[in-house]
Amino acid sequence: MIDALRQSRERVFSFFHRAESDRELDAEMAAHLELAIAENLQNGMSAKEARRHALLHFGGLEQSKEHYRDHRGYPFMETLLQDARFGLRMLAKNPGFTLVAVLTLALGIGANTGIFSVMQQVLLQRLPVPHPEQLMLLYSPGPTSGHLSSDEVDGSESFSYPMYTALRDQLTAPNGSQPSPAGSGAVFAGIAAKADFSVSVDSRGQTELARAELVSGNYFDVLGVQPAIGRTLEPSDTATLGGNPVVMLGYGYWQKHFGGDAGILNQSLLINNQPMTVVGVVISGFDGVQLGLVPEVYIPITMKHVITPSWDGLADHHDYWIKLIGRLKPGIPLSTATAAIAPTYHALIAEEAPSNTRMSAQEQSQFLAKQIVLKSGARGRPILENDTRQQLLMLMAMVGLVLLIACANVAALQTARGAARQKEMGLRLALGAGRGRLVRQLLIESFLLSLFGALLGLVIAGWVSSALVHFASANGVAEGLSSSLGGTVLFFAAGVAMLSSVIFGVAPAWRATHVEPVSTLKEQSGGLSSGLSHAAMRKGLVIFQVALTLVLVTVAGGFVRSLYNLQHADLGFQPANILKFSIAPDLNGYTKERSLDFFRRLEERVSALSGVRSVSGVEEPLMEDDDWGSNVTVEGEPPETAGTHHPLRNGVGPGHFSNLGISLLQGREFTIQDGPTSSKVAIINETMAKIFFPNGSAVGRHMAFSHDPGNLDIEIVGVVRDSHHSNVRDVPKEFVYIPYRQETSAGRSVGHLTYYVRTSQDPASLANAVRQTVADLDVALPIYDERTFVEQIDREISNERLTAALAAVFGALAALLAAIGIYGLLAYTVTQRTREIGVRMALGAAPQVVGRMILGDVAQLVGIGILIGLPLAYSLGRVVDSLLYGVKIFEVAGVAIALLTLGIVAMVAGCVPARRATRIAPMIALRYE
Amino acid sequence: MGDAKLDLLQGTLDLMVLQTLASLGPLHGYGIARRIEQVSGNEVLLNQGTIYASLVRLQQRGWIAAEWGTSDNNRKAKFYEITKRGRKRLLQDAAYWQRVSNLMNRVLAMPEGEPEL
Repeated sequence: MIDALRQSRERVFSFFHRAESDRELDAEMAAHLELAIAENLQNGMSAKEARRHALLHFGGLEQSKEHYRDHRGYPFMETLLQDARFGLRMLAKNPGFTLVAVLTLALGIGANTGIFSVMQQVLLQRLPVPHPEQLMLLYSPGPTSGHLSSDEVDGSESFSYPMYTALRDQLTAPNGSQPSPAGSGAVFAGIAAKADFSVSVDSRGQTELARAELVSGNYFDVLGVQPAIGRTLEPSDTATLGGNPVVMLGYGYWQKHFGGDAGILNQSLLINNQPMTVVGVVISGFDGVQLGLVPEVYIPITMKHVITPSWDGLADHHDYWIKLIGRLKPGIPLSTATAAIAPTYHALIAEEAPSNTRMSAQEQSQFLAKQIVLKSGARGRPILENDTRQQLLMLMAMVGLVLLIACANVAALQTARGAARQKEMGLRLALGAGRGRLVRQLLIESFLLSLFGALLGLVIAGWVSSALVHFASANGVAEGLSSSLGGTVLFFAAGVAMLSSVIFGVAPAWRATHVEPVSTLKEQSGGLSSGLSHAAMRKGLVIFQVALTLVLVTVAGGFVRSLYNLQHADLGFQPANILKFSIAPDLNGYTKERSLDFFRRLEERVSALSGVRSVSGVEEPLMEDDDWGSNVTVEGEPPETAGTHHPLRNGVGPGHFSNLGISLLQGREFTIQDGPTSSKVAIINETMAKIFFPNGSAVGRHMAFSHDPGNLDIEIVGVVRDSHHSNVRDVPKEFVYIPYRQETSAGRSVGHLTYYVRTSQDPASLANAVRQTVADLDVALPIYDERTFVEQIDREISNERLTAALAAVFGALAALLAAIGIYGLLAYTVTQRTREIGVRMALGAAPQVVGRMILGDVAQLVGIGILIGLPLAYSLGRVVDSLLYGVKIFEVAGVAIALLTLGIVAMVAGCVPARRATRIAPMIALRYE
Repeated sequence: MGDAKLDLLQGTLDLMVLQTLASLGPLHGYGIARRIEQVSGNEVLLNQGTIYASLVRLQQRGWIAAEWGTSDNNRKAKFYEITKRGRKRLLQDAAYWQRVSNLMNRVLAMPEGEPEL
């Protein structure tokens, strides 16, 4: 084994020192001969005879050298280099072919690599921390009682702060410590907590909104993240509730806002009007534990009362808002850990159970059965992954198919070249070249094409990747994605290039070398027989391309139609000509009363601006994937269902429904008279009215929210049409609106609102006037998320827009490549059949007949391709249908459009060669060779 | 003439070279070739050139080392010397060769025409 290693090391060395070693061998052999000659002379031979004898005895000099070289280095590698040099010459001799092939491959490889570079970040890349495989996300599925904020489907990732501290204290033991005798569940080296919020940061007189990560003091320690400067937050920073007004800056935020100035250390930043001392900057490269969401400042979680002024919740067992990430002690398997923490968690849950209000007996028993579920946290929180996994995989599959179509084109080109090089191959075979050697030669040429394609493809991949990353960041899909092509991506590109060279290279190479030397050498070029089997192969390639193109065009069509549906969905309101913006005075220290006063004055001033028709504010913004609900009790409801209905709710300003164009079906709108002290009122949507008042009018009836039960003291004053709230895909749900000025629920300060300004002109043109109006009222108050409502809706469906756009591009690319394939095949067959066509025309065939004959060939190939492609499209369609809105991939309209597209593409591609066929002059054709 | 000479079995040349170097000390390629011819009583059919392939193989395996030097009659030549690892290898290979050789002798010593075993 060691010998073998050593030998291969020596061989590699020799391989790179061939010339030197050759010189040495020459010298050594010369010495050998001299010695032999000298001895022969001594034995009495003549000089001439001595030399002859020595040479004879030595054997063939060149043979010996060759033999020696075989043993010395890598003869395989040396001939490989020869082949590569020869291949380069052959490619250079045929620049047109080379250019087309390289460009085609570059497109295919580049698009694949670009998509992959984003996909691998979202689906594969692990957190840049030591031993990410030890990290675990904690979930606890099951019922909850109280307030829940979550960004996953079932909310099972949210914990209360008291539960977090209990878990941290009971499940954590320092590394290397002995497990306690009770066999406790102390399987974690540490458990960290985090939650993200927006904060207002006032630095050097300017207030801006920033994304804050509230973290437990051990967060950086558990993750193993170092500071770039200063120190990280520490457990002592969160030792007391409300404690330690210190802040750590994210690296990017530090660079952007403070130019990377280390002088920021120990200075004070005004965050939500509270001075906090900058103690450090997080090391470059660490962007939090949720891909796509880059924290700008890190604040001790115990400072929560400052971050969310009206909602502390730190001491509340029934406020579920914290996400947990733990680091298992080394060597503890997942199953062991899960089992070990179960008893501890059960005890905590049992302790908490009695305080669950309004839980049915069944819910209570489900609550007591809750477990901690651990999922790998190596890649951090998978929110972005969950949102985009299917789209990314589908796009990756589509772009893979595009590459296959591109490979088919290059294979067709190779086949054509193979036909042209038949003589060369025949000659080389006749001269004794092994077939394997010739195949290798051709494969190396293919590999060179792929290599150049990949190099150019990397440029394209860079564009694709930066375009995607830019789109994601500009549309609020994900921040902090990298557009640089790292090691994994380069590796992928190399792999794809290798694979494609095999795909498009092997068959043509095998075909090209299966020639009978004698017949090839004898055969005239341009004859009828030589091209037939090549043509068969190229026909097969075109059929393959048509089938795949049909699949891609059908799928792309589905996504485009789905997007059209999304963009033209009836949302229940009129979003055109509306400017929206958000404002959060509570983050700047406003009390509720001051905020309400501020909002009233702002509304007066904005509605007085010229070009503004009306304005209204809401607590929960529309079309931003946010929603909020509460249990209600409604007049006339049977006692057993009282308090169990959970409609969505929102607080809205006067004139909100007419401002947004939501039709009022019964009763009245909220007005300026519906203030904090006047009688409580509500408006419900038609879905809710139908559920509670199927027979009578809802107006004048009463209801109450469960957090404020008592009497049913809220009067329903109106019913409005259903409208979408959180996104375009919403299905109608029960909805209660109240005046925001009557908001009383805990955790709602009404300290921030989102405004919708309906304008009589281009809404974007009013942005400056609105900003000025806010500044006139309070210059320190930032406004954020300012854009037109239409832009906001576009952002909300940006995943779908991107998917549809990319799918369309891939479909178009596939169609283009297929067109090139069809054109290439026909141009080739027309040339091949020139003489035959000439004969036909000489015998009286009309040009139209000839043209039809050629186009008939196309139709046949396309027909077969379609027959193969349809079932493929059907099965792929079923997989991706769930991503679509209001359409299916495989339905009559979609398939018809795809077939039509394909037909047009085929006819356009076939037209030029067919016309050329009809113009063949019989006499010239007959003389043509 | 050629008919009477022995064609070398694959691998035997390496062993001969090692043994030659082990018993005679540093030698150049020509010397090794000549020595093998002499010992074999000119019974070996050796194209002297083939010795160099064997030498490079042995060198790559680290069983012999080479250095340029001057021959007895003042010519520059590359001298080969067996290494410690080479000696170990030689012992193993020689033992193996002995066993094969003994076995062949015994097998071939079986009397003809008498079915045995």
